[in-house]
Amino acid sequence: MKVMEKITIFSLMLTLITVLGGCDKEVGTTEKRSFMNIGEFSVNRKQDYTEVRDGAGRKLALIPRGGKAPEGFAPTSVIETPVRRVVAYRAFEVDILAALGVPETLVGVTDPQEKWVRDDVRRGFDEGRIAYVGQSFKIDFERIKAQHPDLVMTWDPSIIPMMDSLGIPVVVTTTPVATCLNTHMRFVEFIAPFFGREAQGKAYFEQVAAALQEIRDRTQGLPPPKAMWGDIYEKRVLVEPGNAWVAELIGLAQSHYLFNDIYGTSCIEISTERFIYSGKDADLYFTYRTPDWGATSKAALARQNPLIAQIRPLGPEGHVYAPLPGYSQSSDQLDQILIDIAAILHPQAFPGHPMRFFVELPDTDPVKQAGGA
Amino acid sequence: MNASPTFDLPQRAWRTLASIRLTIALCFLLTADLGLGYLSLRSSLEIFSPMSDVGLLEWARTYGAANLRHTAWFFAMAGLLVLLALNTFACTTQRLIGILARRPPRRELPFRLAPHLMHYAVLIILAGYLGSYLFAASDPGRALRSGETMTLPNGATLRFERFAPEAIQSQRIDGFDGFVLRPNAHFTVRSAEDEAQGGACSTVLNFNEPITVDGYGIYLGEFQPRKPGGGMGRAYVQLIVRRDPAAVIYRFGMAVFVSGLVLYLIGRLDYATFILSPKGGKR
Repeated sequence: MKVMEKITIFSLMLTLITVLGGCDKEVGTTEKRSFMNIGEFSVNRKQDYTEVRDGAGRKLALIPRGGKAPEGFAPTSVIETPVRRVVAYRAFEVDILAALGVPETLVGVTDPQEKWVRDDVRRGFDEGRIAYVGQSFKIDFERIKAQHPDLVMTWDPSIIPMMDSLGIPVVVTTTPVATCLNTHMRFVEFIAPFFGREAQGKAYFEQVAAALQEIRDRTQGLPPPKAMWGDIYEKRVLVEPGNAWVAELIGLAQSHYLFNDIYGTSCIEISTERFIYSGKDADLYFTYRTPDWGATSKAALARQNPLIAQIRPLGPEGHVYAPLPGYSQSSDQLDQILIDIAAILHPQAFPGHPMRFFVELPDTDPVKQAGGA
Repeated sequence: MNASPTFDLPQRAWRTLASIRLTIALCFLLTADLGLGYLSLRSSLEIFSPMSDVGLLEWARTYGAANLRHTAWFFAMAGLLVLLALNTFACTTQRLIGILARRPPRRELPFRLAPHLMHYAVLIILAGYLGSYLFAASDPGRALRSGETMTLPNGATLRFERFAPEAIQSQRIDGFDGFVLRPNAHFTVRSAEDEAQGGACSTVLNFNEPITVDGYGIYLGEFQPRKPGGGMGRAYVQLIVRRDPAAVIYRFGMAVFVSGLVLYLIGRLDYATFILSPKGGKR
């Protein structure tokens, strides 16, 4: 029976390691290894090149300019670094370029100039460096080609065959499920090797991690408000699932996120009944709409869709917050965005904090006075 | 006269491996380990998702080693499964030897062996999946729009022609009325031989209905639009191209398992018929 005992002890030890390993996700940690994964993205440093895995699971090789392409990679899967010209689909990637200190590499975007509030992007348009390459789902491939990009950052894998035929490398920057807070904060470390800006990526991450720690410290032990994030549109109800970074942030800031049980992609569709059911219990509601898109007051939201008037935050004792236009174009200030959200959840922990990225909606739209300014 | 300890050791090891107590201990440990795995997967699914694309060894060297706090349960499970496989092999073989030693009637032999055949089949299936995770090569990011062609490493080609979607047409699932249930992606396939001779064939791809071309498995990873008018104007399929030399092993294992199950059921049916018959009842 001694052998049996040894086997049992060995197995118990393995299980113990697992128990000690725990299942908690350590938000705000990074590891110094030749291999690093950021959610499903990864960066694997090899002897002569760096292998990265993008959001679609594709392997790309990053090589120094003029270096030899490694074997086993298609020509458009080999990217010379540092990248000098980029077309970016999402504002998030544009913000990351700014965070890495390489905003001048941006040569194409999928929103026209008037949609941008970022000074560096507007300036790029004025200088003629940045071009509008069409809406993200109706891309003008010839316009992209005319910009001679070294790289296209996209969420849309369906453009890859066309880009391959144009000889332009593509990196898919989103995954099928919403990114968690850790991945959202560390995504910069996935992009940094494309530009040889690893030190800047690390500094950005540490800055955001410090903000997160501040939020943890300030909100510890406070009574948890109940929050929801999403919107009712004409035909669809979309919310942030429990695995999204905002949901995780709300949890870390000592609050209850009411769609924690929902898993999937960002802006996931749910039933109207579920939205209203959770909404009856909520203290705070974050809408997707900016004031430009009609989120000017609780009454304005209720006018657009009377069903939403049933949720508690739209009543007199609730609070509704709308993102300002700069919110979606300021991820290079992610630390400030996180603190804004935490200050909304626990205003008592951040006395006098000036909101920069959100606005609380009044009950009704301000009445315009006749002859007033 | 007692056998020497050196001579006795293999026998003792064999007896321990074949022990039902070991089976029970392993089952308890596996249950505990998988319970932890469930919790770990809930919080860290993204660490495990790449495993089928990059292969088990590469995954263990990279994602597994870099996230040991979250993956330790998986390595423990692998160890426990190896022990369980050895235990099953030893236990089954010991029983098999016993049955054969008793020299049962030739007619009854297949039915008596049936449960053990199923045990061996499970081992073959496990070995097949292990081989698959060790040796399969997978390329997950191949997207095609209608009219585009993809070339496989051996020269075979697949041209994506069109969708013929079947949508959910009921209020059975709230909020999903009109969503595509089966995309029915039509492909024109030319194997390497077809490419030389000018032949081609048409086939349809769906979830759980892959296409096989010259040993390559073509799986549907994603498609758009998911409902008429959706997909933001894009219509495409994202394919996973997979070459899995071990697939034949686990398929063979499944065939063996089914054979064992059929033999077992026939044996039980035969026994039940005998018991219920007037002659059998009088026994």
